[in-house]
Amino acid sequence: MIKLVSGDGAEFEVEEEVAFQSKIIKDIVADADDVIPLPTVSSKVLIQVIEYCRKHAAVNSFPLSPSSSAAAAASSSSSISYSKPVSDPALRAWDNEFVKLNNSSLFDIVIAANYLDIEELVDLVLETVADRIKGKQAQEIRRQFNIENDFTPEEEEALRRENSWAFQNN
Amino acid sequence: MLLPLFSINTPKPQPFPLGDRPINPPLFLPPQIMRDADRGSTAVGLCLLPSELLHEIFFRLALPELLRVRSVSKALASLVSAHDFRRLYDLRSDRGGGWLFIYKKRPPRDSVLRGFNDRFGRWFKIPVVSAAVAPGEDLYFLAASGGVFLFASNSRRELVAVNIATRSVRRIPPSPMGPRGTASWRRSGLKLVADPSGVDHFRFLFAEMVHNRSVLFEYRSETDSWRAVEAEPEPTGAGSTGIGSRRDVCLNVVQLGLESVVLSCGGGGEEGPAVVLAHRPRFPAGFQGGPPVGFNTSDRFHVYGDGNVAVVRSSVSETAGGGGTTRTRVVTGVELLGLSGDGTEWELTSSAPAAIVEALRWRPYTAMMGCLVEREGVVRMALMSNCRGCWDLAWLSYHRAQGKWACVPVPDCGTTGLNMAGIALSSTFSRSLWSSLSAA
Repeated sequence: MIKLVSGDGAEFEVEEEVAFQSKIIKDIVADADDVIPLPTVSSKVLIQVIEYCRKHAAVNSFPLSPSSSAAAAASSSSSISYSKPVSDPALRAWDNEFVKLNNSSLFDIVIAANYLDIEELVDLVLETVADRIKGKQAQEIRRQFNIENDFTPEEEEALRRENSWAFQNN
Repeated sequence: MLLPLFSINTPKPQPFPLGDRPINPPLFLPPQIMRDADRGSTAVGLCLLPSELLHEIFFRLALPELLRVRSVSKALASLVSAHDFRRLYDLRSDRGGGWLFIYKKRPPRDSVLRGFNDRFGRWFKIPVVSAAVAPGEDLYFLAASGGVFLFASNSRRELVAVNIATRSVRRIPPSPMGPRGTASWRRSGLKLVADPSGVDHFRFLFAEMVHNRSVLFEYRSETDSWRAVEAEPEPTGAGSTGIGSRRDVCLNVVQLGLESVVLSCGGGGEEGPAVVLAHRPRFPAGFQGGPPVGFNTSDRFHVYGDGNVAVVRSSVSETAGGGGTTRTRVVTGVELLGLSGDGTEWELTSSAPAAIVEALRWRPYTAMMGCLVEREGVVRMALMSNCRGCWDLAWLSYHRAQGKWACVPVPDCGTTGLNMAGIALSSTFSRSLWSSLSAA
């Protein structure tokens, strides 16, 4: 077991394969009984990250069958995919549930996942955030992410004129 | 053993083996952010994410979406307009990807132009038409390049060019061939070339057989005038190599059996193309096909563009049911051929692999049309097939350098009952969107 200590001092014991979803932890752990302080990650966020890692460790521990890895290779060659595809539909469904969180929770998770180098989780969250931008007009994006409009009315009018042809999604 | 992350205990001067992955902001977040995160407030806003993560989010957005992000706030505007971001975005997204445009009419007098981006797999509505069209004007969409969209007006028998960046509408004077209706424009031997500098200028070229001679007609928006150049027959024999390097534009004129005529022009200066050559490339045996454009029902369908031809082979499949048997076609092969260096032959570039053919095979059709463009070593083609009134789109691309084919799934954009009024591909539309982004 590896002990993770959050910034607010809470301790979490996790199995090696769960902790090793983080490449950074995997790289530095020398000893099975390591204690790893994570001073920038709050316990609230660490609980969510561990939940994700536990699920993915369980699924990833089964080696991919040749056919599903071939399918993964085929879809990764498609030009629109940025992330490594999660090929297991059940896991993908679980991921979709996992990211049903408000924006600030997602941002906390992605900062932690980036810090811990959990690539799949970073991709999952960024994809989710991008999905919340797609198809929205500027005003809707501001509302979605609580962003203040700091353009002067003149600047805004100029942008509107330039973008008057700008697109709607179908 | 106690092993703190990033602590003094690690032997390396750099506290942690981070590889080449930059971590930004500093590993220890500002106390402000920690506090707010603990409170569960929304203080860790989008704009406070490390710029590397913001970049990763924006790489997932198509250019029209980035245009909207630009209008959200000053911080986001400067981020997506930055030169560094553009360089990375171009690298990650094949320069913003290629576009397929479909112009469709919605009776009685409404119409819409939709664009599909192959890189991002999404459709966008492009509200260019309403601004440009007089009520009741019957337009057919011919071509797109950069920010310029070219239509033929059936009612007025003239060409109309709309620049979506400048929102200017230009009515083009009749060509030396005289005013003509949309039917005579629906063919592959035409090309629109927008000025790459982003200036509101373009050239429109089309090739036509006039009294059995191949003639190139060119309109320049700069001078608002047409010129006609009769093509010279291609030089034959030794010493005719090197033509390939001077081909800026290739236009298909006609194809009959194993013979075809292609015009190429290049070396153009201010006054237009210096050299216009008529090539009569022959197809290899086994490649004879049907008419070169429009709806095609023969077993070999040709799609021409930029000195290439895609040959789509199909076979008839009969299914019994309802009131009798239904004859449909299924694709059995796709081959890409290119004009040889000396212009005398169509040479096989590549055959689509089985997986690509398989992706097309499951869509039976009764009629097909298509278009093809090449830019920067990427050949993109759209095949639009119709089966009992339903339209189906397939998008194929071929990367020369990698020798790789790809089939991009095109989601339905409400094509049932689609009153199609022209399709065109553009590899330069993303470029024109970038120039409006960097104008910020």
